[in-house]
Amino acid sequence: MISVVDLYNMTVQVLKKGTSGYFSIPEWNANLKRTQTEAIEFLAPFYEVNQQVTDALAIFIKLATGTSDGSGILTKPDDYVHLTSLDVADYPCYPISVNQRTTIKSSPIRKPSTETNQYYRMFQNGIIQLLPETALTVNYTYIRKPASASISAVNVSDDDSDYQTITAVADLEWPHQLFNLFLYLMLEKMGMEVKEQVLIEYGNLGIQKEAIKV
Amino acid sequence: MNKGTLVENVYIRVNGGKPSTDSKILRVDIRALVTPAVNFAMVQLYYDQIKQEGDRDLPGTFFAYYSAIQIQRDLQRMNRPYITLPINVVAMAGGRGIRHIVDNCDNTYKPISNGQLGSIGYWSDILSHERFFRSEGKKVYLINVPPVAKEMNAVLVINSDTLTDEDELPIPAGMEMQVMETLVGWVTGTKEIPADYKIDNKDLN
Repeated sequence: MISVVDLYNMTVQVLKKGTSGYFSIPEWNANLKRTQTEAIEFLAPFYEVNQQVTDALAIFIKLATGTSDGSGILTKPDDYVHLTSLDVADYPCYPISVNQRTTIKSSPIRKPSTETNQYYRMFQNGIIQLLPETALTVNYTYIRKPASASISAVNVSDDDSDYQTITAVADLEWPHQLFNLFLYLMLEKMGMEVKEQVLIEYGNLGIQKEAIKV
Repeated sequence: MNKGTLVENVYIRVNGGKPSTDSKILRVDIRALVTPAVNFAMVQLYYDQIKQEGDRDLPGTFFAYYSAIQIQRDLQRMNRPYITLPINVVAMAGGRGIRHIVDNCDNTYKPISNGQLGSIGYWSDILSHERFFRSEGKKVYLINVPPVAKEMNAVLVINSDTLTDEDELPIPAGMEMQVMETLVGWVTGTKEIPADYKIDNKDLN
């Protein structure tokens, strides 16, 4: 878990040395939200690329059960980010691309069937389409969205001064080893040029920088 | 080795020991190739065996026994008696996929080829005590069936298509690895056609 207060204090400390100007608490919270979204959507496809990424995202893996409608349509959960596995009664459900649909359906070998327990899934129209196109009860795991994290400022006054104390409304769920990544991503949002540091942090997770569009 | 174990062995090997739903080769792809791979080994063994005097048959594990197959009459073909085989047999030359058929009166039937059909009317009159059969797909036409015979028993060479994952495959002992290697070669595209007919580790091409 990453302390948002620690993260806030560190961004303030670094930005004093930088060129950024003033930022408000709502602005900082908005940047934190953007940073979380960026990080989860970037890292999710790399979930099983190595142990570091798996550890970083393990807390967001969620097991769910669902039933498709009569056309094999499975609606994604509201907190869905990335599908990691899906099975129908412990039989594998293989991912296919949209242009494989007709070739699979007409194949004498791979034809989707509940009798031979041959199942497939693909994404279209924002839903998960299961083949065969019938009502199926599935177990699946997916990477969920991180819970919202934010800080708030409490006004404090004494005889000599008025100041604000930063408190955590909710900390980040992410493991603490990603603190630096979040720091640099936050600083980037606030106008600092930290591209190299971001690349290094992603590199520490074993992700090649060629894959990173920053 | 049962069919499921063989398929799983090949599946694991072609996926580098870590099969997942991301695999490009599916179990059904391998399962569809089991029959030709097994038949290849089986027929190879048969032609090796046939050269040995006194031991010219396939191992008994290759056969399946089916009883009480009802004799029917084909109204489209002059009311000729026939039976419908319960499984697809291995299409071996000379109708050898049907190893033995006998009616409920204990009469054994001999295979005849389609080339002999022209003269069978003549011979069946002279050899009225001889029984013959010829097959068309799963239909087996019978000649000189005694009127009291109502059903047949058959010993058939098993086609692996009819087996479930729990059934033992009719692979000659010692040739399991070759069957697996053949399957791995096919599905990975590294060896399309097995050409080591003599099992001496020297491909012919």
